[in-house]
Amino acid sequence: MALSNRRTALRTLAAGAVGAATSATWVESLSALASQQAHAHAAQAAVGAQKWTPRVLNAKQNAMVVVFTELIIPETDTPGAKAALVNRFIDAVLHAAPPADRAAFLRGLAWMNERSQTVYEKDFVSASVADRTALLATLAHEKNEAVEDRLGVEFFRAIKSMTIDGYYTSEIGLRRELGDNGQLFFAQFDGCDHPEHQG
Amino acid sequence: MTKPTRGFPACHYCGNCGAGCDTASFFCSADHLLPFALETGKLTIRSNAVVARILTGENGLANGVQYFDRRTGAEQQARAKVVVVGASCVDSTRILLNSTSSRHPNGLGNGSDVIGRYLCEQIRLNVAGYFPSLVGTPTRNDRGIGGEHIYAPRFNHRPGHGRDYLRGFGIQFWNTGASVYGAHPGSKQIPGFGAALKKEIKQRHPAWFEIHPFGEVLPYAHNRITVDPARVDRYGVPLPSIDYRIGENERKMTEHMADTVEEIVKAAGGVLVDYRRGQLDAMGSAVHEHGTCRMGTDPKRSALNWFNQMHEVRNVFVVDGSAFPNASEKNPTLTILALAWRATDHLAEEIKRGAL
Repeated sequence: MALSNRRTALRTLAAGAVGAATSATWVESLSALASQQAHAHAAQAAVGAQKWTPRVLNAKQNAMVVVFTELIIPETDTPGAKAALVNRFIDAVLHAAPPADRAAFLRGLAWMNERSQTVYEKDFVSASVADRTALLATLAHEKNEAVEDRLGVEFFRAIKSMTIDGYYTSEIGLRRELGDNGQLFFAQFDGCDHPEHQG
Repeated sequence: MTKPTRGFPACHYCGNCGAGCDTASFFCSADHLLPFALETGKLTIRSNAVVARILTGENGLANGVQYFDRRTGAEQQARAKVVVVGASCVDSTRILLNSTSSRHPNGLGNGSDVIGRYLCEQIRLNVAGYFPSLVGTPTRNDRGIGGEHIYAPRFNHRPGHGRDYLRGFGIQFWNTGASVYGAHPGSKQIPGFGAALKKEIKQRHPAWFEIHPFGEVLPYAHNRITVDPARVDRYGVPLPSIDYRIGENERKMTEHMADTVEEIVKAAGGVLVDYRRGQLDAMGSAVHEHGTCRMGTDPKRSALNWFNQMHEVRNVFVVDGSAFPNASEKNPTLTILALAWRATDHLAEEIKRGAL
């Protein structure tokens, strides 16, 4: 898969270059980095869940990322992004990211808090689930091209992309949610069994 | 390998081929060629040696290489009767072009000025989608081992399939089954968030497909690798610079690729996601560079003879994809290996004969 991964990385970077009109470069750049780092995350999560301190996010930002990722991939009949420790994955991606992309992400977090304060007079983490969901729905709306929402829309795209990579490469996401059983192969391929293709 | 070979066991189908094989059950030169060469006692492998230039004597023949130790940065030399170059297309070209001397002012063996020119890298469409008929079905692990995929060979030589362009394309079909590497990137295109998003990602998980046509780009003299003395690496060695553009032939081929993909997806009942018709991947995405040190019978129009041996410098062989006169639309590794094998058989004979 090495070659395929290399192609994927090239493709994602290329998409960033041509898609700049619709998505900010930092969004594409962070998304591509998250995709690349997804495997390292899977390995890390298996190691130590006991003691962890963020390398980029402060305590408030980390709490916000936990809430945010869980809104994107919530607990249903399987655990959500919070249980899968997607916040740690995002912190690791931000740590590896170019400073400008990291700063853009943190500006996005700050924007969310300011917007929440303006609309609900509470910061994002303290707002009600209904209010948070409503705020996200505005940003998730595909036709939202409002200039005053632009940073929020970009931020939503970035964190959604990173959450999907982090969650679905975790054991919770891949094994419990998607139902992958870790079996990669058939020991034998019997070929096509369509009757009309026999003989 | 399906049977034990050279003392290594047959494949046990663990599926992790992409990371290298712990039991050496697939062919790889590190397992199946180098150890046997080392056993002869005649091979020394010098790791972390970044070759910068091929050195030549007053007679114009190669007599060694200049390299830098990756760890210390120290400049070193290795002396040789024969130099075999296999640094992959771009870097082999860079080494040859940087190997200038009074006898080879335009780069080693480049009196013809073909080295660096005729770069052929395939064009590639990257199309993704899903089959509604598979949405919501159980997750199955039916992708096979190690990155295997379905392949449609080039078909436009067949009656009724031709178009108004030269050469052709093949198609790789990927992700025909549930990914074991997490959610498909197309999942990010599903709108919204929350439980509905989570449900939709799961439902589509077994249903994604990818279709990648790889098309041949004709060899054009203007598609070119040069070295730029103004831009150097940390050892002070000029870096390569690549000029590459496709022409009308490739644009017509791209249209045919898009028509073909759309026809297949329609017939199979698939839905394309984030589809932008005819939008090629970034040049270089196929990772199949060829052509910049091409073989041929005419020393004015080629750099190597049919044994990958330089026309102008008979003790230098170039054995990677740069020796190909064109790229074709196919994956080249096996052909590169076969040509390299033939070249080194010839080299051994020449040495025995006393010709080198």
